[in-house]
Amino acid sequence: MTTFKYSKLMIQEDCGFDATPHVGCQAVPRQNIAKQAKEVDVDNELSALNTIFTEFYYWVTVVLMFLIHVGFCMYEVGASRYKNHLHTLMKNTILIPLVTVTFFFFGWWIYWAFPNGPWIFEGAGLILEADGWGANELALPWDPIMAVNMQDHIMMVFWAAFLLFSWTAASIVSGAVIERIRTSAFGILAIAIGSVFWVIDASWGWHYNGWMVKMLGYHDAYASGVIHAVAGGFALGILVVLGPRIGKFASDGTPRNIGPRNPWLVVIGLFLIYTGFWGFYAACNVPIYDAGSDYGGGTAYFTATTIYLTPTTLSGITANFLMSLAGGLLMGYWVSKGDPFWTYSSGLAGIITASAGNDLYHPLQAMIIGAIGVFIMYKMHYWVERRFKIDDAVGAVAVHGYAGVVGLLICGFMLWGYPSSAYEGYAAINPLGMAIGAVIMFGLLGFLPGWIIATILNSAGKLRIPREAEIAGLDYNLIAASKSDQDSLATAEQ
Amino acid sequence: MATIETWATEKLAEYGAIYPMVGSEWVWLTVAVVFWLAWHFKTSAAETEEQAELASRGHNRDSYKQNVSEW
Repeated sequence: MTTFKYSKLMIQEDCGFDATPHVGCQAVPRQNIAKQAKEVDVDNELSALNTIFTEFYYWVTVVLMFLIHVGFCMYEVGASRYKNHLHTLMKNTILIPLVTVTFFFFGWWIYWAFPNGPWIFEGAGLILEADGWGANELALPWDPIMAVNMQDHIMMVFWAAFLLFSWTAASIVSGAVIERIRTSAFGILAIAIGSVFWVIDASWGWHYNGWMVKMLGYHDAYASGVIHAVAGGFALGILVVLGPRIGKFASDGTPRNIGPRNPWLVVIGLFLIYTGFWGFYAACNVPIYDAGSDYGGGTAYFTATTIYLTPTTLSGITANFLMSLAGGLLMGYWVSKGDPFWTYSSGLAGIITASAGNDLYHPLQAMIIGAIGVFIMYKMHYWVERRFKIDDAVGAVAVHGYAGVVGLLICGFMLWGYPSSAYEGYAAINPLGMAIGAVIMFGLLGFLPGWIIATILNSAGKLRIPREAEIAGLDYNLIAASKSDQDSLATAEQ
Repeated sequence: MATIETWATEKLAEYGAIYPMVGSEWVWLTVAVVFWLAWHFKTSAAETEEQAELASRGHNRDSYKQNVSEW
């Protein structure tokens, strides 16, 4: 863990954090302060500055990523019908506290516990400098480092950045199941994807020491698979069990369009998700890392790195983010014939498709890859809807799941031969490893647990709301109460 | 209660955890886990009750429109 001293502050000899001598302090002449300042350890100063900058950097990403959730709430409410608005809003909102507390209880620990796969693969010690499964005691919820601790400035802000990823994973699932799932069932499913399964996949494939990186050459810099494919797969597993909304399919199986009731809310929500995605991209990086001293021959070379500690630049990924967004939007507008819902969603899908390799792609490659991903996910959405009668209310499985899988597969070819890590003994990035990774993300850690948990809940009669309640609308009682309030007030005003 | 009694000390850099009652984390964790689990049971039961009551009324798809307020 990072331990450092505020060397400049320490020379003030009990004067607190104010450099100006004041009553109650032993005054120190300014010239003496200056003299002593020159004597402080420069390395310590740089280390402190680096740590404080990193702390602030992740803090900003968390604030930006909050917008993703604002966007998801707007998007879902806009996509739902009037009679379900408030329950839809509350279903998405309640995942915030549920995933937050469980990510504190056990999610963060899982990330640090499983890079080697529990009892499956031998490997080096964890990043927290302990060995083997269960030894990452610093990430346990009762450890003093998981709080305000003067010996550490990174742990909790890094935890928070990962937590916002967790919210996103759960929120992706939330949109697909609107208007017929019980909120209490969704809460359990949100915890499962947000605080367990996506965290396991991150530990395996989004950790510099993860076994998928080492053995498969898995590379997923901005989470095509570890967030999007896994959440899309999880959503599909639930949808198979949950079934479509009443009326979604005609008796002959033809799907009916239950379009967004409020397209303005939907598109503004998606704009906000784009905005929050900037924070997501930034949060996937280590902002300042001395790659030179670590693995670059010994000469200091500071750079931004991916989560794998491989070098990239904020400059380059900014261009790639925008170009993949552009490629997705252009293809989405084209293939959907200008449908606003799909065009905006396609911008998101374009970024998601290119994200696995956006640390290394050329911007034009990012654009084309984004466009390809959108074409495939759009066609897949309607094919799966017709063929399997899957009612994905907001296209979440397509935008996140299919686009994420396509992104992983393309990345395997585009970055074939690149080292997956700067350290010795890691497999190079390759198509087969990325394909296996896609199966693990979408299928093993996404679809399968989603299907299993949904089946259990369904067997207990706890997954889906009663048919009569679905027809009446989830907000029926709230709407009736509002009407009652209005009538009561009208009586008083007469 | 206070873990730290002064900030004006040359030992500032040696401080670790500074929240109150260091060492009582297990107690807080236990309370938090109980609260979390209780939330699931209570809200799930309330949801079941609400929807069963709603389903028993025999509403049709347009029933809610009679209650839409002017607000």
